[in-house]
Amino acid sequence: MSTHVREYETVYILKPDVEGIAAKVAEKVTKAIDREKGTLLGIEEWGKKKLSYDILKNNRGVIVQIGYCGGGNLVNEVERELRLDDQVMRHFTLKLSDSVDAEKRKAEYATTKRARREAPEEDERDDGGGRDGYRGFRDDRDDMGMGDEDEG
Amino acid sequence: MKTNYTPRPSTGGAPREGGGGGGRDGGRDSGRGEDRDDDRGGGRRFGRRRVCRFCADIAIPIDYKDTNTLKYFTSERGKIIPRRISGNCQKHQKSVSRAIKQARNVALLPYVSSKI
Repeated sequence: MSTHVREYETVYILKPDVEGIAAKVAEKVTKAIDREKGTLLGIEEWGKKKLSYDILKNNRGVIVQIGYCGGGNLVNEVERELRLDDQVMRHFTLKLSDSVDAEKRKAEYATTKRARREAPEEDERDDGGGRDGYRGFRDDRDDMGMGDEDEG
Repeated sequence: MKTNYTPRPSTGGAPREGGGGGGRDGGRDSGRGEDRDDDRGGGRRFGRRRVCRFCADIAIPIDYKDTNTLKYFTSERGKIIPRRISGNCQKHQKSVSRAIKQARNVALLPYVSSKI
C-alpha cells in the first residue's frame, strides 16, 4: 500500500537563553509525530538568530524547522505540543504538499533540504541607487524612480 | 531601450521632481518632459516595463525562508513593493507577498522597520 499523505513543515522559535531546550522540544515533537503515526522527515536547527522584531521581549530566538508527513490530526497534535510549551515563542505550520509518498519523501528530503539551503543567492545588478547597502527599490511616492538601471 | 533623443537638455538641478505622483496618469506627461531625468528617454511616459524575474528564471523559488530574495521586494520600511514598481507578474507578486507575510509571522522579516 502506498502511503500517500500530506507533507507539512513547521517552524518554531524558542527562547534564546534556555540551555538544551531545543533538544527537549524536538523530542516532544518527535513523540507527537510517532503517536499520530506520522513520518518525521527531518529536524533542522537554524541556531540562534536575530529576530526582525521582539517576541516576548526577546530580540533573538532559536529557530527550528521540522518537516513531517502525516494526516490532519498530526498537525493538531504537533501544534498542541508547541503551544503548551512555554519556551516556544512562536510556531508556524505550512502544508507543502497534499499527497506525497512518505517513504520516498523521506529518502529525498536530505538532498532537497540542502538544495533549498543553497538557494541561489541572487546576483543583483546593483541599481546604483542603493544607499547604505540597501539594494531594493526605493520607497518613494514617485514611481518614476526606477530609471537608473536603463543605462548600459 | 534608451533613446538618445532628448528634446531639451535636462535641468540639472531637479532630477527627481515629479513628487506629486501625477506623472503616472499618462496624459499630462508631454508637458512635463523637462523636469525629467533624461535617462527616462525624452518624452517616454513610463519607465521601462520590467520583466517578471520569476518568469524569466523559473529556477528562483519563492519561499518564505529565503529572506534574501524577499527582502528585495520590500522597502526599507518593510513594506511590500507594489507590482507596478517591481515588475512582477500578478501570479508571482501574489506568491511573493504571501511569502513575505509568512516570513513576517516567524520574525524573519519585519512588519514594520523603524530603522531608517
